Amino acid sequence: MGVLGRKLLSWSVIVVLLGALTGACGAAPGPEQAPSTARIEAISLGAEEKLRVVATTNIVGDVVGQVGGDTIELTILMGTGVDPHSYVPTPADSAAIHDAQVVFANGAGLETDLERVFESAGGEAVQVYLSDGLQHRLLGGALEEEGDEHGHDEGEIDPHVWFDVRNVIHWVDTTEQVLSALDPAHAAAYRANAADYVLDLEELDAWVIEQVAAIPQANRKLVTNHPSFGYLAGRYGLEQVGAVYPFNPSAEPSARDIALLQDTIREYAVPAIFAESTVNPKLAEQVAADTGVKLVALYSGSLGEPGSGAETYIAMIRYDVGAIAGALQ
Amino acid sequence: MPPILEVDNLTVKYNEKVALEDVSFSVQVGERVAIVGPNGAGKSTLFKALVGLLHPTRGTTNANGAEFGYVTQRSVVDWSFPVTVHDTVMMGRIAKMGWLRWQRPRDREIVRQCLAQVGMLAYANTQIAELSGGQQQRVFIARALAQEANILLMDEPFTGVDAPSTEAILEIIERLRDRSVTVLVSTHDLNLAVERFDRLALLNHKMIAYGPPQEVINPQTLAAAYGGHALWHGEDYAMVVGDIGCCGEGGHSHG
Amino acid sequence: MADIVELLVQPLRYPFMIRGLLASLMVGTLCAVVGTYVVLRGMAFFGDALAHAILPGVAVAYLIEINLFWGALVMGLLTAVGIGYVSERGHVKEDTAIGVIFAACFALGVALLSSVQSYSVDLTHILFGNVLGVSGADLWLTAGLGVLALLAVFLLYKELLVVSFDPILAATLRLPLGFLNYLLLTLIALAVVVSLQTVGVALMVAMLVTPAATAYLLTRRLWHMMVVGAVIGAVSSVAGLYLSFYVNVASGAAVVLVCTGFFILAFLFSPSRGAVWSWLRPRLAARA
Repeated sequence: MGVLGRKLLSWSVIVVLLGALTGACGAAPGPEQAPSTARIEAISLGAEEKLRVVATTNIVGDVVGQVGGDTIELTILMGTGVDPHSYVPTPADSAAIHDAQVVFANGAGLETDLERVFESAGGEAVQVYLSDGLQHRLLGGALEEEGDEHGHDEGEIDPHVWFDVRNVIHWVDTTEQVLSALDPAHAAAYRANAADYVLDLEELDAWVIEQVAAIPQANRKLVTNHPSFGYLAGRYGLEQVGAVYPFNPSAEPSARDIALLQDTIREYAVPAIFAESTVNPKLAEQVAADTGVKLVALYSGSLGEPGSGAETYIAMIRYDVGAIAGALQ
Repeated sequence: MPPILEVDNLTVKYNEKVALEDVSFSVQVGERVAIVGPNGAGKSTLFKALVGLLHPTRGTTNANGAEFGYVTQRSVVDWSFPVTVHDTVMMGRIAKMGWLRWQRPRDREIVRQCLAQVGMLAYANTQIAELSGGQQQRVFIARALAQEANILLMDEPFTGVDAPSTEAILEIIERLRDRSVTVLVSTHDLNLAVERFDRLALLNHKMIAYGPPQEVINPQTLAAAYGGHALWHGEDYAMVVGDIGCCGEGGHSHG
Repeated sequence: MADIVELLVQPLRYPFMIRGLLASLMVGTLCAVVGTYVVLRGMAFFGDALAHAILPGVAVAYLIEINLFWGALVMGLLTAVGIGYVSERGHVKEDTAIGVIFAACFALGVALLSSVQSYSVDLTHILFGNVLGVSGADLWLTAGLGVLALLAVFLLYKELLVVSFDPILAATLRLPLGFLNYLLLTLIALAVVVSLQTVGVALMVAMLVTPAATAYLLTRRLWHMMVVGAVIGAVSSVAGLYLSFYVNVASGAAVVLVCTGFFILAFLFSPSRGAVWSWLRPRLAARA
């Protein structure tokens, strides 16, 4: 190797070392855990400046948007059809998190590796996990006992909390408190928006109870592509009896899992399988064909496209419950 | 004078087969020895055993402290490797340079001299793929010289090389005699071996015959080495046809 | 002009981009240097196999909750040495041995990961890289290993050259062939493990092969090939990351596509070996 070559190599080694040094030092340790609302400090915004808000899932985005209205600048990370379980942020998403002043997430383990994503993105946003403070259900359907929270892995908790409308009412309260604390100038607007929306939600809750009550007791069995309706079932009186992807939608079910599922379908004489828009329906289609039941499309992890009838949270719940009730009559 | 190389009852197994059996011979300093024999006779194996790449099952080789320079068969070399003629010859200096050291002016000087000896100095910065067969061969000889080796082992250096280059290589070998470098060459070309070398080793797993060419080559030894399928037509030329059958089994000569 | 500067500077406002860029730079450089040997010795299949074979190591690391990096490293070293050992024995062809081992390891990894029955597994990151998630600690590890590997290549340059070009000469010179060959396998394993974070299992082989292959078309001497390869690897990695920032595509894939773009350019337009010139030269000469 020539003299020049040696020099070049030595310099590259030095550069690499220096680079690692700067990089390691420069890495921001990441924002702390979400402080309680009492400790949130108001941010002083310029005259035309809007509060920069980021929401992870589009369902969270819809709810936060209802409370914030035009007064906030809202960025929703996951577009329609994105499965929150397998979502990977793009650099633009991380940049948005970095630049935001508050980030609303579903939490409860829905968004994969959320803490790491926030840590990597850096920035100084207030992090709000909307599912904190709710009574969670476990993946099997049972309620988590009070004071039992620390005993369960995040992986065992069912994160689809928004199917119990009362949970979303709690979301609205949290959102309103956080936004008002950060941006007191518009607190009145936030409170008004929240109050209106809560009224709509309470109406929705009553409607769902009514709809499910109309389904004959024996038919209230849900077989889905992946078990996202635990809260719907638990609150409103349905039962999740089986799922094509019992756990992670990206983990292949074993042959035994599928066989068990088909047995369950036949045993309960279930009239339909419900497939979510965000999970690949191919396997569900096959199971439905084999057992001779209908395949009904629903929305769970994400809202629907414009024109689908499920573009907002309330529309989505009405659509889903309507479809379920219709199929199970 | 003690021989520079002594091989005693050398037996080498290669992939479960006996490649060499009880091979014995000795070589004096400065001699030119040609190793001849059919394909698969064990010529390459002999060389590999001499440099320590293969371990003998029985027998010994004694090089009296001399160093071997191995001139590789052209067919096994990766010619697309990005090295120039200079780089290739410098490889021969590695043992002298030692670990963790770089080229010194003395190494560069020696490389230049060796290239000059084989007439390839002008091509020092040429990539080896751009050379002709004869030129490639000469570069490898230069590399062996750069090792400051006393014994050169050349594996089929004349294969696939045109006549002028063959002549050039033979001239180099001749000049090496003046520097007391001993040369062992393996070749298919029986004609060349007889005319230009001091001693012949006729090999077919066993040493059939060893000595001055005229003594070694006769119908009996050729029959033993080539399995009775060699045609030898007198003193002026020899045509050796490897292992091709001619008129049936059994040794016989034609006219 | 100011716009271009703005374009270049904007991503650097984010610490995660800076860390990602540094990681990509280091990976691109290291892989290209080690990849020089991979290309010249025809070990691309081995490199790809190694990349896939580390999956069970990653899975186990995930299950026992240590940094995935260590799982990958242990598995990588084991596999590299294992394949080296099996091919030396000679009864099975090296090609076959590699195929059998890597498929088995990969399947084992998938089986292990699929047994994890919760929502927190992320196979996508492992398969395709997670350069945005690189932490400061990861950077230190990468730099440390990278420096070690480059140092080995630097100090043993002439020995590795001879062992790769002419093993018979190496034996004649009494170089420790076994040690040097296993060392090379280890260096490849190191390169594979650090590139797990930027491009993931599926695309790693591209980082080993493509920049070095491009450099081969443009150079005549081994250390030139390494330097040019390293530059191409580094530049492609950075460019790929910028691309992924502005165009919103997966960063690992973007890096590999940029590498390939350079390769295509070299393939067509290399002064000595470009396809375009080979086609043109005789025609131009005929005209002259």
